[in-house]
Amino acid sequence: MNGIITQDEGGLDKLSKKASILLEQFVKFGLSIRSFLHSSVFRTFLKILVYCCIVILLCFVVVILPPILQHSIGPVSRINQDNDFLTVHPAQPEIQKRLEKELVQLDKKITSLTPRSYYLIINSAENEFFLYRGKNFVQKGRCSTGSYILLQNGDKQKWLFKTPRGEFSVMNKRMYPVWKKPDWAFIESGLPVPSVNHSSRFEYGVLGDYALSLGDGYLIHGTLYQRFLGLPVTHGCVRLNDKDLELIYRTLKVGSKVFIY
Amino acid sequence: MKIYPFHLFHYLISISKKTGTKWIASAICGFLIVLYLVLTLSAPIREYKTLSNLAFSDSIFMSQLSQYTPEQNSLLKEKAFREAQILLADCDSIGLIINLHDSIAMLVVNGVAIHNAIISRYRIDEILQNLEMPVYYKLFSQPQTVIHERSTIVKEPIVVKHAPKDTIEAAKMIYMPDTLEKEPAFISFTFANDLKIVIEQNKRTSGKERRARLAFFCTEFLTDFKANLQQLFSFNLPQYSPVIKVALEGDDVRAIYRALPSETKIGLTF
Repeated sequence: MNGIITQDEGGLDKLSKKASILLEQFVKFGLSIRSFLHSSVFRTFLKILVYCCIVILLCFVVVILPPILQHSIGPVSRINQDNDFLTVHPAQPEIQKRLEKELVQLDKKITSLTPRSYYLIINSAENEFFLYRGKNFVQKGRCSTGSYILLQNGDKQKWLFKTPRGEFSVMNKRMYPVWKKPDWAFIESGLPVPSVNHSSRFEYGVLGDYALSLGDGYLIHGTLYQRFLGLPVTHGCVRLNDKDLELIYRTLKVGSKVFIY
Repeated sequence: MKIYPFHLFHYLISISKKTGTKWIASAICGFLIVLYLVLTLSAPIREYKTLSNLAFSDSIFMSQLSQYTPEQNSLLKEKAFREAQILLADCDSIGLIINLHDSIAMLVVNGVAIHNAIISRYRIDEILQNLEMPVYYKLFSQPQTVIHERSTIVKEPIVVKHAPKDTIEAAKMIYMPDTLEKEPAFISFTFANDLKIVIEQNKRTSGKERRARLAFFCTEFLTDFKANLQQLFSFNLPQYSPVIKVALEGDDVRAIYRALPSETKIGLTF
């Protein structure tokens, strides 16, 4: 029994020693924190923190808050309270009818601006095309437009491969078009530029079965590289796959509108 | 004991003597900040008066509108919008129509709608919401001309390529565009009559998009602040541009921005 008590006492002793060491360490730690809090380093840090807070607050009050508040400030009262326009007239049916008629006329004018026949819309940002007939949607598909590559041949020459934007008309239509390669096609491939009518300038079958000219050398044509459809990879022309090209060739006439954006 | 202004002055001087110029500098700064805030926050009211004067000072215009009653306001708004659309159709270049009634933004060329984008949300400044009909009609019956634009995306993503020396170098230089990489799209258009349209992409899923938005709007705030300070230093009152903020799909914002030429025209209705 005694032995057990002695063992317990020994354990308590060890425990109390450990506790006193811990307490001592804790007090030391507390004292060091206290001395740190009273030190000039901490005070400087605190000062900087306060100044930073003040600067941030001032920035918020002066730079960010005014525009936010400005957007929700409205007039307290309307300015021309006594103006004729705001005085309530008795309802005048003729004026109402005239206004409605004017609106119908304006609507007609706006509607008349949309072509009634087939027309093509090309989205060069997403490389998509949309075929419409009047207001009716006909077909949608992928295409390829200008790559926006600026090819520089030293300081002498440069070409920007960009599809022009705006309204165009189909100038002419061709079957089995032949591509007469311009100078840039040779320069881009690292080849010497041949004479104007050299046989190496003429390539057969690379533009697909059909081509529709939009003027200034820009064409809507087919491609051998169908895997690039949907990507901006052309030199300014619009490339379509064979099936879509055939549909567009058959539906668009010479003079049909093509809108590119 | 009575306190005279003389005593107060004496007291302030004694404080400044005790604590240096710190208090006086703080008081001056405080005063300037309050003055700045008052002048900046009263700018919308001045702008409202300026816009109102545009319409109400035009007697011929006012006499034309005087026949209409406030019940016809909605029809007049529609008429103003149609007139703006027709004027926009007369321009050869691509224009933008923002119809907040139907929540649609449209690209148009010669009156033909070539791209429709759904507006997912929008916010109109209080000043614009409170415009009287003659002012609204005067402002929005014609397309607005953009005089300044700012965006997080480039109008033309040009890639410079130098001509290769031979076919071997040309084969190494084949360029493939990265279609997966899409820049966050935030745009602001400022019009000739001080109105401003901010178009932002509606989804901000990545950290890059959130950072781009924060940077875009912080730059907006700082630009406004700088302009206001410049105005104050030249003894003018700070300016205010009424803002319409519109959110669209990112792809739509990019397509719209890249399609619009510089100094484009925008038709608006709300």
